[in-house]
Amino acid sequence: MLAYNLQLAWISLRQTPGLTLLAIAAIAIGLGVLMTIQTQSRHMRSLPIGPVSENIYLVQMDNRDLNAPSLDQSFEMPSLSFRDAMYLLNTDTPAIDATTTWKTRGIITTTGQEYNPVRGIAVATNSGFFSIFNVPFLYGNGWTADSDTQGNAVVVISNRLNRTLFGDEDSVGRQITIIDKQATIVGVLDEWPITSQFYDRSFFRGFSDDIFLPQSFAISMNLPRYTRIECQAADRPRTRAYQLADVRHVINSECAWVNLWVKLETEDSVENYKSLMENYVSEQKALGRFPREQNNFLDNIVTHQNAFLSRDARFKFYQRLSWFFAGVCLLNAILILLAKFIRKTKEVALRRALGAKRNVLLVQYLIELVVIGAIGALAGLALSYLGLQGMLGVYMYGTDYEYPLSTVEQLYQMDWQLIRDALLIGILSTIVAGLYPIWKVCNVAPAPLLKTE
Amino acid sequence: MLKMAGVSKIYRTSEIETCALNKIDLHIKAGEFITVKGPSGSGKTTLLNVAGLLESFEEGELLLDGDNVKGLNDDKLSALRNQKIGFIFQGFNLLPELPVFDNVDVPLRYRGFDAKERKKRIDNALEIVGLTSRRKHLPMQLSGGQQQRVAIARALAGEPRFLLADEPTGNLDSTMAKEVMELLKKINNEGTTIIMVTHDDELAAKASRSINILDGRIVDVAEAGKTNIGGHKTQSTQEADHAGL
Ligand SMILES: Nc1ncnc2c1ncn2[C@@H]1O[C@H](COP(=O)(O)OP(=O)(O)OP(=O)(O)O)[C@@H](O)[C@H]1O
Ligand SMILES: [Mg+2]
Repeated sequence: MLAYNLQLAWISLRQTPGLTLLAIAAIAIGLGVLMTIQTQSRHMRSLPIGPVSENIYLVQMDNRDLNAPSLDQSFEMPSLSFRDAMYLLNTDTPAIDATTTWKTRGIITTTGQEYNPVRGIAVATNSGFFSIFNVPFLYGNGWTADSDTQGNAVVVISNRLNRTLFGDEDSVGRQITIIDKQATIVGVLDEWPITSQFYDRSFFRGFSDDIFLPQSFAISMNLPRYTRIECQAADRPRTRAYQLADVRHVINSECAWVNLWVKLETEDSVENYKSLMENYVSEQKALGRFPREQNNFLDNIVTHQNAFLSRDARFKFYQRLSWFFAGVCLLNAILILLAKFIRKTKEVALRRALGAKRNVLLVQYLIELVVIGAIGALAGLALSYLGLQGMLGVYMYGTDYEYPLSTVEQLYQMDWQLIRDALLIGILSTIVAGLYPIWKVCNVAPAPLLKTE
Repeated sequence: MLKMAGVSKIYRTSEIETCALNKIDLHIKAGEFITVKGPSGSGKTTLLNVAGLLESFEEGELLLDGDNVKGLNDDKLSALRNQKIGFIFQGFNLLPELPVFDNVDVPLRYRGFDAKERKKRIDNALEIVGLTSRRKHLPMQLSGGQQQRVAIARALAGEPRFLLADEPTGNLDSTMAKEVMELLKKINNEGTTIIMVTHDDELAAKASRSINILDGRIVDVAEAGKTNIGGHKTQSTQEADHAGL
């Protein structure tokens, strides 16, 4: 009977090629848009640095003034003040790895080479940065813990900057000048497969940062704090000065601007770290700091990324738009299928008169719907392939073709999950769209329709 | 075989009620060949549809092979239609997208026969109606009479015990009509009970019983070899007969 039904479905598709094509087009377009956006958003949601994303936590302790609004989500909470971050970084904690980060920037020049100065964005951090985030190196390595304590003039540069300044050559050992301080390159990053810059909480997708240097060196050089500095009310007017003026002021302030990331691999260590934070805040309260009630957060990168995406208006807009669009296409498909199946009332009447049970005919038309849905899904997949290729093109253009295609491509690739989802959604939505039409047509009273030719 | 007792069928539209069948009492014995005559709109098709379980009815009882069909669900009625009843509709009612062979195949599919059995029956039925050479043609590639014969083949293929034919010879010339009539008589002789609507007195004369209906009522029954039970034909039925033709 299945073969018979498939044969009938095929005949019927050819009977009404126009309506069939329209139905397939409605399903394919809706599905194509939906799948393109959903694939994108799945890549957006994917773990920023793989599975370890779940074990790396941002340390946050609420050191705002009493009047500040209460917050129950880590995403809105400021980072740490310099002294609190440094204390937790340097004491003995359950964390197996830790690093602090903040951003700075400056004019970069190379010595002994004719080159216009470039503006570079730099991350002031610690030697732990490269291990905690599994940073791959093309040449050389990160700096040692000694350089952290001594404030050595060493830097790691991105392969992009390396390409700009040294044309892809191994530049380890060469000098670059940041603003007016010379530093020695100790390492060049390889392509770093992170999906966004989570480590400064911006979740920015695009170029990687140009330079990584020891925080101690950045402070000794008084590099600007190119980062959000959140101060208590009394201090707020000085925020800009804290960004640009003598770094010693901000270091001694209560303002929050340093991100402290810790790697914790067990639930116990997370709990232990939390009580460590609690004890620390209690101690500090006794000393007159932390005016508010204790409100600490220890959330991992995944939690922060999800909060970021749920607040990303454009991301949400595209998501909703794609569902809305798919819904409109589904409505269209319902109408088209209604028109298609209404033409079958005579056939239904005849088959019913000749002894077909209603369910047998419903199954016959369901199979026809599955065939339409499958064809629509395949066409939709072809469209989402084009959509993803288009978005890949836009991305490559937007990043000046800087990244090798091989690494970027992954973000815009169709995978088995997509194909499975598309087939499933395509067929199910066609059935949903066609259920009412076929139900209606299978419930006609046969006799009156058989009287006339 | 089929027993109708006080069967009434009323069509209701928002404005009017039409009593298409009015308290029909009819007892058809197995093996009978009954013709139904009557003017246009008198309820002949309705009678066949009700007898063929294609339409419900408001009043009365209908027994098919001794079983009351009132209250049977849709699936049971479909199965009974499929197994016991063969229809030859007033229009040809062929599926235009299917070739002759597949059109004849339709009721057999729902009967659940295997491919071999179906082929045997279809070939046989097509041979009976003389269309073996047209089995791959689409209905629109056939003449009206040929289409009518496909419809007959479709009804015969299931070897129904009960054949309902609504003017099966309406589209045929008189020679062809006679042939079809012979065919139906032969089938009847082999045991199939037949009810046939016709306007043709000559054909009607060959039946074992001839029923005349008017306004949904059986007005007159004539048995083969006997005179009309209800006496002579009324003026109005004769007029209406002409109108119906
Ligand atoms: N579906 C329907 N709704 C309303 N009235 C109907 C319907 N079908 C038939 N009728 C009415 O029932 C009556 C009998 O119709 P029927 O089709 O049985 O006539 P008939 O004797 O077969 O006529 P003909 O010789 O023209 O085929 C007619 O008056 C018709 O108008
Ligand atoms: Mg009729």
